[in-house]
Amino acid sequence: MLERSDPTVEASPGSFEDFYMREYLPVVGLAYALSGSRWGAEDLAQEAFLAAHRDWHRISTYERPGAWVRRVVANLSVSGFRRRVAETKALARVALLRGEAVPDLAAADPEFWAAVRELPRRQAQVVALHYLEDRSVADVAGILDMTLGTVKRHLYDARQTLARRLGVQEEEA
Amino acid sequence: MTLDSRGREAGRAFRAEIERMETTDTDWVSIERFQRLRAGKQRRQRIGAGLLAAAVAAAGIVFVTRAFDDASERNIPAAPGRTGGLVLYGDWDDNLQQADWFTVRPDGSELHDLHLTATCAVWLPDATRILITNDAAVGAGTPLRPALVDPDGSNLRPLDATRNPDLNLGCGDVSPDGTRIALEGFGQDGHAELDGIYSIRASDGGGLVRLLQGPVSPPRYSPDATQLSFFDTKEGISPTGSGALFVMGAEGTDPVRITPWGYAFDDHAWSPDGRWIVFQRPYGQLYLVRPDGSELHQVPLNLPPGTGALNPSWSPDGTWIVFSLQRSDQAEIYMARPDGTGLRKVTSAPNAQGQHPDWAAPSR
Repeated sequence: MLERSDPTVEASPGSFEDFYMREYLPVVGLAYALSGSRWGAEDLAQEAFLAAHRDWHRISTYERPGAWVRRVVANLSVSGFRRRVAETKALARVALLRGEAVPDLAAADPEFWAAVRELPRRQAQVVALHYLEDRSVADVAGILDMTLGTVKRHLYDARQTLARRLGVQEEEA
Repeated sequence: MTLDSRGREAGRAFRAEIERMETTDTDWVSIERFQRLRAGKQRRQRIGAGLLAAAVAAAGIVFVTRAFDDASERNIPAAPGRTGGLVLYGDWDDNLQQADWFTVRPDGSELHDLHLTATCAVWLPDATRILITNDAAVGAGTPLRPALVDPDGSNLRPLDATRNPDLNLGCGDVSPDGTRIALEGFGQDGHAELDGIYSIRASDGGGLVRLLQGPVSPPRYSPDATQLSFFDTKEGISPTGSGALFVMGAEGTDPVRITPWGYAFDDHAWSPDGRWIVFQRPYGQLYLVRPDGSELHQVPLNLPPGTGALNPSWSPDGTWIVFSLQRSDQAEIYMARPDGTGLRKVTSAPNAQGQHPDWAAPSR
C-alpha cells in the first residue's frame, strides 16, 4: 500500500475519504520516522489531514495533494517542541482508549532512524522521503518545494553524516 | 553494506511494520475514526470562552451529565469554596498546538479567560505574574523565548535578551526568590548539541547558563531553591516516550535518578514543603516520591473508568493535588488529597481540553 508503481504520479484525489484512506498510512509512517514518537505520530498525521479537510475544495485541485499533506506532516514532525507536546497528549490518551496504536519498530533498524532524526531538519526530511517512501530526488523536491540541486545537496550531506555516525560506507568501494 | 543499501532496507522494514498494523487493527485507518476526531474538534471550536464561562456558572450539572456517562463520576462534587487561591490552566487547541489560558477559583467560580495563547504557562512564586512561552513571537530567525504577563493576561514582557538564533528556550519554572528561570532549551534545525536545561535571568532573559546538556523537559525548582528536578528519556524505554525523573543541584550538579526508567512522563511538581514530588506515570496514574527516590507510591485515586490523571500540581498549602482528568477526547481540571481522598471537580465544560493546572496562593 505504501509503494506506488510510479511515485511521481498521484492518483486523482477524488473525495477526501478516498484520499484519506489511500494516504493516511504512509503519512503516519513519515511522521513516525521523522518524530521518533510512536505515540505522537498519529496526532501529527491527524493534524495534517484535518488541515487538508478544512481546505479540501482548494487542496483537491492541486496536482499532488499527497505531497501537500506530506510537507505539512514533515514540518510538524521535525519540530522538537511540537513533537514533545503531541507525544505528551497522545501517550496520555492512548492507553485510556484502545491500548496500543502505532507499533514499536524494533525490526525496522531503529539505529538508522535515530541517526536520521539527529540530522538537520531539511536533511532528515529528504532522507525520510527518499528511503521510507522510496521516492526519487525529483519527487522529494516536489514534495518539499525545493530545487533538485537543493535536494541533492541535502541528500549528499545527510549520507556523509549518516555513514560516519553508523560506521558504514557511503558508497560501494 | 553501504549507507544506501542500509537506508533502503530500513525503509522497507519500516513500511512492512506499519502495514502490518493495518491488518491487525481494522479501525486504525478508517474514515469513521477520522470523522469522529473531526467532530470532536468542531464541537470544541463552537464553544467560545464566553459561552464556556456562562455555561459553567449557569448549568454545571447539565454539563456533568452530558459530558460524562459514568454514574460514579456524576457523584464527584465541585471543589469547596473555602480553598483559596487561583488555578491557572490551559485549554489545549489541537489546531494551534498551543493552549488558551484561563484562571479559575478552586471551587470552579470566577472563570476568567486571559485571552492568551501559549504552549506553557506557570505562576511566578509570588503570584504577581505568569511565565509563558512567547509562541506568538516565533518566526524566521526568531527562536522561541519566554515572556511574563500580568495575572489577567495583559502587559506581555518578552524575556528575549538571549540572542542565539539556533537555541529555543521553552517551558520552565521561576526560582523561589524570583531572580532566575530554569527552562528547557532545544536546538533549531537539528542543532541537537544545544539541547539541555538552561537558566536565565528573570528580569530580562539574559545571563544564559547551561545547567545540563541533553535532557529537554521543563525543570522544576525545589521550594528551597537548592535543587532542580527534570524528566529524561532514552532509546529503548517502554513504553516509548516514557522515562524517569531526576534531581540535581540548582547549578546543574550531580543529577540523580529518583524513579525507575519507564515510570515517569514529563510533568511533575514539588510539594510546597519540599518533601514530595508528584508525577504522572505514562498511562494516567499519579505517583509520589521523596526527592531522594524513596517511598515511591501511587496516589490511590478512585477515577471514573476510562480516565487518567495527568499534569499534577500542588495547592499552595500542600493539602491538595490538582490535575487534569483525561478521558477520550476531553479533559477537565480536578483535585484530590495526596492520599487519594476528596476527589472533586474544578472545571466543567464539554469538549474542553483542560490541562497543566498551576495553583497560586491567594493574592498577597
